Amino acid sequence: MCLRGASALQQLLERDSTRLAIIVLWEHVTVSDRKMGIPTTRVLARLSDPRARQFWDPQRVVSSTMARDLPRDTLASVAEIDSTGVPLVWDCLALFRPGVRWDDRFPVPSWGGRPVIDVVDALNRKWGNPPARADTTAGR
Amino acid sequence: MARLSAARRAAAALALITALAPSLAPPAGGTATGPDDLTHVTPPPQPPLEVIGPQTIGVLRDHFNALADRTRMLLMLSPT
Repeated sequence: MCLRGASALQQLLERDSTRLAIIVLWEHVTVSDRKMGIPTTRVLARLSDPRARQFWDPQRVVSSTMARDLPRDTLASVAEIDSTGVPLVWDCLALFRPGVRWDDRFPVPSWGGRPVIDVVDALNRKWGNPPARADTTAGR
Repeated sequence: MARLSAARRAAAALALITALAPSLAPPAGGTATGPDDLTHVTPPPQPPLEVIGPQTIGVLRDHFNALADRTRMLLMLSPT
């Protein structure tokens, strides 16, 4: 599901030319993920946008940080509760407005959701698919 | 002597192929395995894949803050 979402997002990004920074964080969630280990070249190629930088978070430290710092309602939009009752942030997309910084606490996104495959559809409608947009648009 | 050496080389090659066979087998998804399934290279011109852990999460935070002049999109994905 994640990879389908990544590919759908890549198609959307190919129609967008704003000064957008894309941070891709890969993490182990499923048994299949653990078998794979480090994301492979084939997987990393799913998001080929030159504005992207890709990270691998095998211990899910960012998910844990977000679960600790984000307000409950925000967390609910980007996380699922795993079998042990712990929020797990994955298969999600979040947007942060210009000027927002990550200091003592993880910043609250201006927009986001999960799963990515569904969020891409919503983002498609939100952006309206213009060839280029100013990145100061509210909510971006 | 040369014949024995060739036999040893053949045996070594067979042992190597046998050892590598499991990693070359098709993954659970059923697609054939190729070089792109054995390496971890990001698409150019992206920088190399960076590993984040409890001691290195600051790298991600610094990257996030360094790009605070623009909208940032954070994607959190599992690789399968």
